[in-house]
Amino acid sequence: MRFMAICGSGLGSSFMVEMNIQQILNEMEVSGVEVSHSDISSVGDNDANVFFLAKDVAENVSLDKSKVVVLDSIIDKEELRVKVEEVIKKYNLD
Amino acid sequence: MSKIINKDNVFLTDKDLTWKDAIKLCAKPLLDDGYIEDSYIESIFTQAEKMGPYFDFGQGIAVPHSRPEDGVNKTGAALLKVNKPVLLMDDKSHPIDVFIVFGSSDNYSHIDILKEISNVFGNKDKLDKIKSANNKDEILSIFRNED
Repeated sequence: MRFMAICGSGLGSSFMVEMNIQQILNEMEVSGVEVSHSDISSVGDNDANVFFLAKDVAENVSLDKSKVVVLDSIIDKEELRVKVEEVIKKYNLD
Repeated sequence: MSKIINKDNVFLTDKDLTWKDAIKLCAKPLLDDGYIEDSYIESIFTQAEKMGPYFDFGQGIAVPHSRPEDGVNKTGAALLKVNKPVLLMDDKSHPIDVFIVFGSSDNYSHIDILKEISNVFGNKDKLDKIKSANNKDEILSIFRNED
């Protein structure tokens, strides 16, 4: 199972989201998920099973919508936690 | 000890600023000390015009940044708290209370900066305290408690 955090600039905001996702997965004791990051210009549909994107970036992306999780804020850990939990349940990863 | 913030790169302002002026004001200490070039600020504006305000992190926090090759000499950051919300790209759906401009001279030295931003601003309590801070010392102490 592969999660990927995506940002617009390719420098670091996606890495920050990746770190936060990893932290949440560790706290939930979920294993078997590989988390990485990229920017919208380099990412492709086959790069992951689930993509986490900031709302603005999500509007400009051409990924399979069923794989996309949109974040209203990329620094709100509570929002991220809720959305990661939803994905975990959806794919039965817990 | 904070990697981002010290008394020389934290500012507050009461002025009514346009989004570009807010970013320029926030970046001023970095420009003055040679951490970044004017071209770096320009590249932030250019990217925003191309893809929208990608540096709006949500909850009133904007973290303008661009790529190392756009004009960064040394990794660094600066913070500006605005008392009057600034609308990114004049868009009402992007009101900003705190700007943190940072530049990384390579692809990894900014990671600690982002971690710190995430730890401080991702914490609702600290976020609220920073947004209601009235002076530099209040902001500095919130960052200093993050060790």
